[in-house]
Amino acid sequence: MATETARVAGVVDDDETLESGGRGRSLWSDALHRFMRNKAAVASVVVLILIVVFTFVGPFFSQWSIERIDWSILGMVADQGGPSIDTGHFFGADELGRDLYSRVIQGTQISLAVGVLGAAVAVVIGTLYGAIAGYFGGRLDSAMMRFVDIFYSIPYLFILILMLLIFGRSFVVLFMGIGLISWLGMSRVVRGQTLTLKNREFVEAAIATGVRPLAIVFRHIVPNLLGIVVVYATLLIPEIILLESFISFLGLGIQEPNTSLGALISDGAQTMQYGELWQIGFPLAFFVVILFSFFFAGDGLRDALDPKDR
Amino acid sequence: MLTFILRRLAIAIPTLLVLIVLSFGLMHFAPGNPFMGEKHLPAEVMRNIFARYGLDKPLWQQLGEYVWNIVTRFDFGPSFVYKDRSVTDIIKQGFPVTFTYGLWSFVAAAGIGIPLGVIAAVRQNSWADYVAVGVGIGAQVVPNFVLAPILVLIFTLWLHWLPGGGWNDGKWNYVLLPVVALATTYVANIARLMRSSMLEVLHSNYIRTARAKGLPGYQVVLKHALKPALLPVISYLGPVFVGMITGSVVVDVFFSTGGIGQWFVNSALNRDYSTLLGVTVLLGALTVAGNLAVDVLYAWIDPKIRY
Amino acid sequence: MSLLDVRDLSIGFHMPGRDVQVVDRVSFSLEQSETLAIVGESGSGKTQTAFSLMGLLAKNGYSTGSVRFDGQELIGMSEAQLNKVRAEQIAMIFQDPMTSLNPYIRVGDQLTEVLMLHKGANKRDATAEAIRMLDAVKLADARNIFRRFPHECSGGMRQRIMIAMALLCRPKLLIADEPTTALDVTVQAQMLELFKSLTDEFKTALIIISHDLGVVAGLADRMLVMYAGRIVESGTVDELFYDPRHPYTLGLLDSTPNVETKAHRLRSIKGSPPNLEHLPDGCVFNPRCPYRFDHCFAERPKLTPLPGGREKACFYGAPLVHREAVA
Repeated sequence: MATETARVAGVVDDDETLESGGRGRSLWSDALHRFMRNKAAVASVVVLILIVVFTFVGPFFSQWSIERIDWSILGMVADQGGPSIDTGHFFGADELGRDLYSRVIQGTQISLAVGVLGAAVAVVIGTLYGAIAGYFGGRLDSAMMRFVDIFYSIPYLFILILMLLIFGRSFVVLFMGIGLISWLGMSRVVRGQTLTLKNREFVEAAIATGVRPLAIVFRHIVPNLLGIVVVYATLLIPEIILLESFISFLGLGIQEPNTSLGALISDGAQTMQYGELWQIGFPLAFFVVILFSFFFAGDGLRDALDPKDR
Repeated sequence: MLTFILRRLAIAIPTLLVLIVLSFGLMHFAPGNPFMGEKHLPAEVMRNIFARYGLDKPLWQQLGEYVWNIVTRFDFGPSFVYKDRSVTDIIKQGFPVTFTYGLWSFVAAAGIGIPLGVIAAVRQNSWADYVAVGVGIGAQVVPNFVLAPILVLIFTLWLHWLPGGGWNDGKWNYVLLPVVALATTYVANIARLMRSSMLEVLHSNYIRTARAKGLPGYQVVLKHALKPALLPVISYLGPVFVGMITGSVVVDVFFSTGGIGQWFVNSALNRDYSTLLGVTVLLGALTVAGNLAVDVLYAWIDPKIRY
Repeated sequence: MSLLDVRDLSIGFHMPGRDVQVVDRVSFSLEQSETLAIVGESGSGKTQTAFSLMGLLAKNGYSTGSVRFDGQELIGMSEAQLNKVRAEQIAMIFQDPMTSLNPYIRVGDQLTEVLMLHKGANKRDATAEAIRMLDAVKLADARNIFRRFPHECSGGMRQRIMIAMALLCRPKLLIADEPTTALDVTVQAQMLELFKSLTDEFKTALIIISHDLGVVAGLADRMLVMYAGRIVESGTVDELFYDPRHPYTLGLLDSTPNVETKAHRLRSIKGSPPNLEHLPDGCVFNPRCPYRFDHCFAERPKLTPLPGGREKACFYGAPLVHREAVA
């Protein structure tokens, strides 16, 4: 209540605070509280957790592997390949007679993994790069960011496809490649934030007590970047999933028999005209729900950590 | 202003060169070549083929000649797969298609998104606002390669209103679905961005001054708030442009328009490296040009950036 | 008839779950060409009072009571009607000159649009008049400044531009909200001189809002002292400076460092400004008042007139001598 008192009474800037509805604290627990109040964000986190649990638990119920062909329905998928409990094809079957349930599970796993791992690569590289550039400033900063500017302008899709062609269409190439493209944006954001942090008192104090520059970057700057990095990463994951799906849709993504949500959607899109809507429906549903959840959670995180953004 | 443009060009040109060199280099490390096919050709024959395409010269010489040809004669070299065509021919055929619907998509995205965002901000919390935000969120999770099949399902298969593919020389009903598929996500994003940016600007002190001067509401919005509010949107137009270029690949493939994107994918799958390289360079140059244009537009509005 | 007549003006804000009152039944009046100062700490409600005169309260703000300007009732006016009053009759300059001008529009355009809108002037006449006004506010090289962007001007220059902009239509009333707070001390003195000469020249009434008593002393004829959204004392500047009758006024005067006498410690008013949502019973100032006694906790003092036209809202009857407050 004490902080409420000071705020409403206007020790600092009362008019604006009142006019805007009385917000203004910025500790981690307050951020958590604000996040909790955002029902959409909390629901999204729950949904994501449920989906991840599903991908681990689901395979125990599946009666078909991802590549085994069900000869009994082959050629008659439109009539007999629909979702049913009897045939064991809970989500139906695809055009080649493979079980969609296990394929969707695998597709979800791959898509999520690519998203998270790709974002992890981007976060690690981007944060270190941006923090170093921002902290040391001067010519190093100019050179480093000029490098980023140049590479940012290059249409990444083409480079990525080239990389996939050269190094093979494996899972590792996919998330490494996407991560290597995505770190650029992260480094810019981190650099900007570092520039702001650099001038804060606790950094001055650290310098005054003789902490070496690299240690300052790692021990003081990076932990304080956590907020903005987490928000950016959470919004980066769905972008990466979209990018991966995009590539898979073009047929240049993950290699068969492995699959991702993008590839499944692509396949499903081609059979829509035969009325086999489950083939696009299930992967699309998972895809949309995952993306929505990440967006809402990311938005919620951003609002929680930086309330004036609304 | 002029120095600003020149400085930006000074970055743009090396960027383009880096792109060309990078693509060129990656190409030459790629396994296999388009000539292998099913049969294993004798070494003699391979050497002849290589000589014919100039692949036996040292790398730096190939690169130099390549760049020179593009700059002086717009010549991207011969296709490795299509014996009767040069890459330039392919580009001449495919680019106008992509450019047509690409341009319309861009115009639609900005032309619908910006006013939508402004209206949503000015009439905050009205139903128009909620619709705009809702559609915005929805369109973000439905990427163009998902939207395209849905559009075809509805408008071609169910309603029989529009053709589901082909180009037919650019008749409007063949252009419409590609444009909708490509532009929708961006209409939504632009509207959301415009809305939040406008809301923020409307809370500025200088807007309060404008109101205190007795300016009517529409003048406050259009004369005083619009330009600063547009700034983040204009910055975003750069990525929109890039996104549409990459998105056009999907549109081309899905709608079989014969545009550049389709050639890109095909040449990737056929390992027609020279076409692949040519298309990459072209689209890369477009990207760089687009970013440059956006930067200049930004500086035109924001006088502080110019110096 | 007074130029401005404010009766029982109350201002509040709709907040989630409750309404907060920030100004409570304020009444005062202002004559033509008079200069009135409104003084108080941050949070006393002075700025919101000014905003409500111009209809510039935030969206969640509301005001009740009566504000009669030149015979017209301003409370409840439509936006279109208010737009006719703004700039033509009442003009305002704000606290922060650095952010009060539109950074994306040239200074000249921001000036001429006022004339073109309110006086129907064409571009050429408006330009000439604007440049004349820039001269009048003592800006060197007015023509050059006319063409510049705001970020090419210093803080002092921008404040002068704001003043010029406000006076373009020769309004009857100019409201200046902390006009010198954001400026250098040396520039402050020049600014006050400028205000004095301009209000003399254009016969404008001036309401100057400030927490700085030095600014008030040089400029105003009368002053109001506000605390927690209420007027606690009013009168001429001389009366209040030499014979303050409200302990808060005395506290403000005492806390202004005096160049002439050597003090050992800076005096301040004990305590801090009140939480407007949880005001104490009785007199709002009693937690910090060195003169309080039992009755001060029981009843809220009304603004009562004293001989000579001044008013105070305090139960303490005797003349004030400085006292330390009991904690």
